[in-house]
Amino acid sequence: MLVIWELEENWDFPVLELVILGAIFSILNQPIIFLDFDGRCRNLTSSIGIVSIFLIFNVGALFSRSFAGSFSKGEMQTLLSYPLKRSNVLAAKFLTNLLILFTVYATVFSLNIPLLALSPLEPMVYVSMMSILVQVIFLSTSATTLSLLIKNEVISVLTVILLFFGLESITGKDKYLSFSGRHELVFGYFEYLTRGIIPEVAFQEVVIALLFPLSLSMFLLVVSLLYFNYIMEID
Amino acid sequence: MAGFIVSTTKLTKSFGSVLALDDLNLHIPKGISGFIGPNGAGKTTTINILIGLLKPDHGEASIFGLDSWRESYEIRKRIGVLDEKCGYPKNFTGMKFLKHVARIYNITQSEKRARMILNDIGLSEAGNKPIKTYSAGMTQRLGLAQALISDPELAILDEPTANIDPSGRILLLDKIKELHRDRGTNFLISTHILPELEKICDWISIIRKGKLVDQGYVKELAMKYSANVYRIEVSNPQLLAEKIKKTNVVELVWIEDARIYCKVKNLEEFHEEIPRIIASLKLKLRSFQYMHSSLEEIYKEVAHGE
Repeated sequence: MLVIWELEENWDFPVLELVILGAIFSILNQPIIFLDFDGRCRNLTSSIGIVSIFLIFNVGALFSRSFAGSFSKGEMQTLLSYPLKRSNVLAAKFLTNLLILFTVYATVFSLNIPLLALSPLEPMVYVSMMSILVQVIFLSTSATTLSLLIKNEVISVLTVILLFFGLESITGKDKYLSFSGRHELVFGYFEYLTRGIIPEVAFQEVVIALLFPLSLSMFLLVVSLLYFNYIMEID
Repeated sequence: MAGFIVSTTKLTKSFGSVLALDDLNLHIPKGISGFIGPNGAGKTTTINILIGLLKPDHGEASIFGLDSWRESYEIRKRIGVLDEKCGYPKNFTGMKFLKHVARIYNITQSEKRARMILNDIGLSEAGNKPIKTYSAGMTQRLGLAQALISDPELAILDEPTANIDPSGRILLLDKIKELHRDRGTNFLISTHILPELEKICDWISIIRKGKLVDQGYVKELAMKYSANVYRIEVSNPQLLAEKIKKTNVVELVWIEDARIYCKVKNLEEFHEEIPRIIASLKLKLRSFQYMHSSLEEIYKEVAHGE
């Protein structure tokens, strides 16, 4: 019921439509350079960079609106005056926004299949989607934590966007700390597995690249839950 | 404390260097209770602590014997709240919003219930319009509707008549009395409009600078803070007033609308002296009435006095 409330409140026209348009633009806005199969697969990696930029904007705006915005508009006070557990409110908002964002981006990313003349069963498409999922989870949990702490929608949006752009700029292509670096590592490992393309990527490196953002996300989610449930005051 | 549905014991809350509540010992019995005080007295902070939005620094707050912070979820099943700072989802229609609220309270036939409460509160025609198109008065009525939709045991209303026109206020006050009479709903009302509160409240709690100044049944407080004024109607008020002024039993005598008002110094002597004077002047006595202090007068004396 809270999921439906969140959907109808924060995903009303034209929010969902703008997110879809943005995702489509991010996918279409990529140069298709190589004609051979390996080259077309490689294009999946090049599109990830632009997708990442749009993701940061979308996550920053939507999660800030859902959490920080509801404080400044008084809607959180209203919700918490009803017999609702705080953990349920947080979970409903978080999961609704996360699942919609990932569904939109994954669906739009699958446009690469016809665009790049790939098979629908091409595993590298789904490897890229898995990479996007991990990044969406990481961005969403971080944005949730920041929004709960900041409680002001505008400042929250700016903080989230600047923080993640800053992180991506500073970390460059670091294989664990930056999204592009992690994606290249994971992508390279599965390319080696499926088509024997060198260089070989160690399995441990891939595990770290995936576990690092997921562990941090879990930590931030637990912190957010404990803070919202037991400590946070709303006035 | 036994018999009270809302209790606070040494409730203290600060925001930085500002002491919002200072050892507040509030007790609210069943019935319709008023919670009054000047701006910044701590009324909204008290209400926010009671409904579990804020945690007290020291002391305790409880509703129905349940701790307001630790057992907030259980309390909220039994109360309805109209908070001063509440916001409502602007894209929803009034009807859709109330249906959602009804479902949160596990009310079956949520649509029927929402329609009924919209009708009761005078918003039936605006129910299918988005909340963002509502005026301030309509939004306030919607707030009342969501506070009352679950038929709560206790409705906590912070400034319920703000932005509502006079006829709407009469409707609302009648609704509050009706709900209390027919369904036993208890109310805790925080407002600045004292004459309205006086018409419906049984109990008043007065707060100032975070401290409780006084609380009790309205009639008892009226007696306690009485200005000791009597109103006398006789056939010749001018003559009687002249005579009374020469006695030593009154501080002040004045005439208003052909009625004599006396601020009494000594009640016992007044009761002996005045009938004797009326009899000696052979005047016809029409009424002889003690004037209880109004809530405004009590409030002025208690909340603004030192």
